[in-house]
Amino acid sequence: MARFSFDPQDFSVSFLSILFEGLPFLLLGALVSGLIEAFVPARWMTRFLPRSPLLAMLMSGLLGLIFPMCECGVVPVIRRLIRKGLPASCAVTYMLSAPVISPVVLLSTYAAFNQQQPLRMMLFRAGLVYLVAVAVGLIVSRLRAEQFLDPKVVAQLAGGRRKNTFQLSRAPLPEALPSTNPAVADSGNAEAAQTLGEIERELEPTFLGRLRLALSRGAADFLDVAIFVVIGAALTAVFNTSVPRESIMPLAQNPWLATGAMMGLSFSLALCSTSDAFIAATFTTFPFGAKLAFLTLGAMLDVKLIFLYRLVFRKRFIALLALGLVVVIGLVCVRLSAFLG
Amino acid sequence: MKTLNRILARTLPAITLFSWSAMLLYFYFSGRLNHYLIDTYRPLVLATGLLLPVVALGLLFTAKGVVVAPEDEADGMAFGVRGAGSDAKLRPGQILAFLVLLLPLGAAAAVRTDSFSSRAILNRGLVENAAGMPQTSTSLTPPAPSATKNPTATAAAPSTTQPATPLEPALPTKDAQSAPPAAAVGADRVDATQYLRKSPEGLPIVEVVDLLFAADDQSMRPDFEGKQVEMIGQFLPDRSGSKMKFQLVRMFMLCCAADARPVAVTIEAPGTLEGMTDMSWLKVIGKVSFRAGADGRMTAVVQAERILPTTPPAEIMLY
Repeated sequence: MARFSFDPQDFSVSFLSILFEGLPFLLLGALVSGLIEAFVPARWMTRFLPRSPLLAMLMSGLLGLIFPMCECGVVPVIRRLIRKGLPASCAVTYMLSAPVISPVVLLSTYAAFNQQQPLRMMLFRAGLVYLVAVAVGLIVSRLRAEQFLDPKVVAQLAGGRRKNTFQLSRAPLPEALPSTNPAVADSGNAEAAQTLGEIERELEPTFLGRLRLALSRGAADFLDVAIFVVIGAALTAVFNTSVPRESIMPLAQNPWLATGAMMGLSFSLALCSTSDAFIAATFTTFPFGAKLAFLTLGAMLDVKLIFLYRLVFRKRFIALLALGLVVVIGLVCVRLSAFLG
Repeated sequence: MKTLNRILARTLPAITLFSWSAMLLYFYFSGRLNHYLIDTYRPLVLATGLLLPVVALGLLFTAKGVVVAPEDEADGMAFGVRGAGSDAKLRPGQILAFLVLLLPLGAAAAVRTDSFSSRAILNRGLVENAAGMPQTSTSLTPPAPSATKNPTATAAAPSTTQPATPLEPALPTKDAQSAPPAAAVGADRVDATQYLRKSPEGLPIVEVVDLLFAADDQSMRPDFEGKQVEMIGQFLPDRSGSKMKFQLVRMFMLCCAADARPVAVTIEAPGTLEGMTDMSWLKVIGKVSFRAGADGRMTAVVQAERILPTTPPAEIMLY
């Protein structure tokens, strides 16, 4: 059997099916993002955040239970949330955890592992994703915005330079007020949040105006993200149809190789988190830890997401995030394989 | 030229959204979408196809009224509404983005074959027993056999990996309602084949996955063993090179074709297989038997009596 083979017909089927499955959720995410931009006051979200960064991160990691989002749809949403003054650290925690910490994904994981200790897999998956997401959020909370956010996103955060969400007036911007909430202050968004809040109250655009703005911003976000999804889906489709999966089967006996192989597979297949558990469950000869690594890493990092993350983050941060996720999840899962088989 | 430039700068994003909408609606209404997604997701594609023109109109309608800050202009990929004001210019980035968004999708849609080639099937690895199947119910939902209720099942060695059969028995199909109730399998359970659709000849129409699950469940095997059935699937030559047998393959998807796995049953042909083309659709009529493989697992084999070329079913993929 050839090690690598490309066929346009197979590529086409795989590519289109990934797009057809993802586009509705992408549009939903983009529209939600547009609505956030138009209707959510800048400081509104920060009122609900605890003052302690740790508590704020712990809470953000559970937001997916109330606002479930898939990994494609969550990126435009968090981009807007950051611009609306949500601390980037909380947004990162939500971004990494929401694809798994959601009722649908937890139930699908349970169903997929129907006869392979489903509760154990569901709890470990949720627990590991949650801990990793909170840990990454806490690390990010200690960074300056310029260190991890894309310069274009940072430019929009700097209070005083950006006019406002609503550009219907060219009124001069008021001075930013100092933030008293450490969780808000951590990402440097506080100034922008204060400023935007003042302006929005001044402008008070009509409901129809906001709706139009929501539509146009949603459309813009959809197109921006769709470009990366198309590129990611194309690469995924090549991996998906051209690389023989049997080639990783002999690795199942060694926990290190098995975990690495399953993480590589989840990265290259870029499956949706609602269905990936059904695929993982079929690798019955692989140890528990390797399957857990597949389910944990795949929801946070894959070919498609690497491109999507570029909308928000610096390349260096994405590279470090990817490295950190692979190392931490890999080590934890190999260790778990030793205990849990 | 400048006017055309401005018009394109303002309308290109909306044109893209209209094009995507047209593509989605075409796939939905032509039925081609059925080969790509399970039925649960298809209405979402329809909704997206209907929503995108609304969004595109909103984009055109709003673009003139919103003055955009320079910071927003630089936001992300330069393709959205930003810069779509009256003095907007078409930038190379917009053209590139337009091409990225439309060319791959258009090219892929132009490929008229909606199924995988034999090479992709082999790359994904044939699933020939229930152990390799996703732990979910089959499309035909055979009735739940219960080893505890079946006295013949308890006498045999218990299987370590029971298949994921539904807990509730499926309702009998319209075709099967005329069948005699509770065939001679046991007083408290019904022959699984009674629940299957019947061919015009009265034969149970069996899917590949049904035989995979039956092979793995000793209480279900008697329901199929020695029975004449009708099957449909795609031809895949036997990997041993035998000219007397082949694999009848169907793709089994969970959400979309990208996650589909090829499930297969071995067919023993009544004669030579010359002239058969890879992945051609076949109707096979034959008797089912179960044999122990090299690993000790039971696998289903169908001894074909007739093999007929046929057209692809409405649903190419099982799910």
